[in-house]
Amino acid sequence: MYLKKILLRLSSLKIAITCLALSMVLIFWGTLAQVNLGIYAVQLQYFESFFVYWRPFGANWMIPIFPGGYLIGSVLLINLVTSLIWIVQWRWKKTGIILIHIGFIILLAGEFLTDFFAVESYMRLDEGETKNHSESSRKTELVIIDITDPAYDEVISIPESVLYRKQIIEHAKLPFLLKIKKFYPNSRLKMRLPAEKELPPASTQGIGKDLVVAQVPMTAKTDERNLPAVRIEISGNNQTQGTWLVSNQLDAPQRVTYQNRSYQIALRQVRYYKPYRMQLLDFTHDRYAGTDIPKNFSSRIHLSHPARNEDRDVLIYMNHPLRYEGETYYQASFDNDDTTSILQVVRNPSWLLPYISSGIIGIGMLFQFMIHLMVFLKRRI
Amino acid sequence: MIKIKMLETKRKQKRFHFLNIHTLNVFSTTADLRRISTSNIRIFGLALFLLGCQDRDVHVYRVPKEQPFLPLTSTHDVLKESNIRWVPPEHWIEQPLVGLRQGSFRVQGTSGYEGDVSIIGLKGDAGGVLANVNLWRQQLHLSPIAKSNLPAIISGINVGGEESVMVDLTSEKNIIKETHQGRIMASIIPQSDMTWFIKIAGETKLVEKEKSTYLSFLKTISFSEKTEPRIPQKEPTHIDGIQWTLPEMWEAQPVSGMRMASFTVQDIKKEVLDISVVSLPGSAGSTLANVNRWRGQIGLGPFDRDTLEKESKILDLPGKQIMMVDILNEDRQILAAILHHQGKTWFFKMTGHQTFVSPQNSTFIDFLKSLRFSDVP
Repeated sequence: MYLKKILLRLSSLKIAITCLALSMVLIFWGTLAQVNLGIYAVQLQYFESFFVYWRPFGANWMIPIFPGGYLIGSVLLINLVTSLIWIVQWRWKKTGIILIHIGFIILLAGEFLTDFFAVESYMRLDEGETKNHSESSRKTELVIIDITDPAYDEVISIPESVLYRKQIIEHAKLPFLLKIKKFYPNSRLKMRLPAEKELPPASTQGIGKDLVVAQVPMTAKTDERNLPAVRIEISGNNQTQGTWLVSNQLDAPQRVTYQNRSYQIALRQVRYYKPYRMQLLDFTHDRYAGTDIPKNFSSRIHLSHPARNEDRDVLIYMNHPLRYEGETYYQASFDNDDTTSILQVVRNPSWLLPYISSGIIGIGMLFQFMIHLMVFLKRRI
Repeated sequence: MIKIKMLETKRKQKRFHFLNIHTLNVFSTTADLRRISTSNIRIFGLALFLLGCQDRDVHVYRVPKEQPFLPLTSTHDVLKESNIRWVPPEHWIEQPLVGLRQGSFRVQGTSGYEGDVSIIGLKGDAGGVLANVNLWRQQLHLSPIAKSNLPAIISGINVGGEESVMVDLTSEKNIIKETHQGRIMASIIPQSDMTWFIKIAGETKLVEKEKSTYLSFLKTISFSEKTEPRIPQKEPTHIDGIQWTLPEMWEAQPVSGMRMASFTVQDIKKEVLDISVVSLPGSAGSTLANVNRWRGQIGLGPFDRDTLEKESKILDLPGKQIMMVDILNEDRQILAAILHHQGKTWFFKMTGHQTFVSPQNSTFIDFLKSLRFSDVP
């Protein structure tokens, strides 16, 4: 009974109006904040959070000052559901109102589902190159790859979030103990020149011996990216093998031999593997005659999916993405004098929900209008 | 030499994930991937919003061996673009080019060790002799040397007609599999705008055996005059609704800046005359302002409106009129025409030495008369 009372309170129209007003303020404020913070940070701090926090100058604590997108969205969702159950009268004459409510509930739920389930990554292909994975542009993973078997590589992937919070990593598949000596969320590497002997090397083993690592402040700007680095120590049987520095700034993985098995270690962008392969056959970048203004970008891709007996060429170009196996490939960018194509890969299982909800809302509005029209016409007659 | 990747700026990456929706577990017995288990959606409900963030944990998967992708570059391609030439010894095995290498060979030794020969060209002095010598010393686990000690370990050599520096370094410790010493022989060849590094590295005895071959190889190196690769140009005869017939002697050139088309004519004295076609939206300033700008380019003062009317002539084309001016100051001459077409102003301009522009006058007029417009039937 007590819960029902609360839910009934939450179903009030006043709460719905308050939520809509707050969301307007939040969107306006968030839009302005993008100037300084960039879209990614604003998304996290304003829209994908329960509260917007404010940090007093010089303090290392924050206080919530405004409801965030998740809080407003959740309250609005509860408000819509409860009002649909208890407030809206389930009568034929109210069909329009009921449909509009259902449509809004699907729209809000769809946005939450997109937030939780959508994965956005990138596939960067040089002309002639074949790949069976895309990569996250922001998230990194520490990988220990057992390359001993000539047939396959076994990858042990440790996400960045684990590196943040754990100091020792043990896993059944890991033959050694991994100690996180130092995690640099954003760093810069430089060569340790012979004249810079006084600077400590980044590690005792591998390429880090010739490098110096410096921590730099983290960035949340749209056009910048954090370049993390980790100093790890490998040890087994109470004996250390030394420390290695890994970073996504380094070109190639480093090799480690332990108990007659060969491993590669690297910090790289999180990979999303596919059961199919894509090869970039050709990338074209058309410009308007006599100018550098782009007219069209297109990637001719050879798609091979052995399990489905598929072997065909596809063309991905502006506004004509490839939808395949639940993922959408968009022509996003290009590089290297038009010889590299960058495809944006979006997996969003709930991509249809906004369309469905818009359709339901549209039908609901039409019903509502028709019902009023009929009442009006009856009065006239 | 390490390369630190230039990381491209990326666009925003979607969100963090509350759920482990993608516990990826891939296994391959053939060359292809087969996903064993896919989506593992744990819980969904309102309560979840309040639980906060739960990141995916350590996970393990198998993938087929990754084949390193070598860009479609070979020594042959590089040689086409640079001015260095060499003749490699028969027993050196050519390798694919990776990183900064413009030439790469493998040398098979009798003891099972392999030697590596690299040819790298870098802009400028690439840090200078001392920095590079110390870099190689570092590779051989030798301590760096001071500038004053440099003359003692380098010698002079002529490579391809260039005064070059030669250095021969041997490690003190057994750095190759902890059983053999390593050795590097390298020559640094400075050119006007770049420096070439030709290096052989490997196990001491192997390098010693290859020393005479390496020195003979250096003798085969030559530098030809650099020629800019000529970009074949399609002859533009139709741009933005305007069509023309190109006079015989005019040669199409790459377009740059605001030019829609560009041509040159070369006389027997190799003097070049430049013809440009530029299109700008709207009126692109007044006709008078543009004519006065051209007059200024060859050192003449501005016209007033009346003088311009007297000095210019109008050519009648089918459905259009084009205004033409002939500007001459001492030996510099500009023939130019201005046309308004579909909301844009088109400028056709011939610039060059007077003795050469004058004979081209009639050709230029013929070119203008050949213009046809898509909006005129």
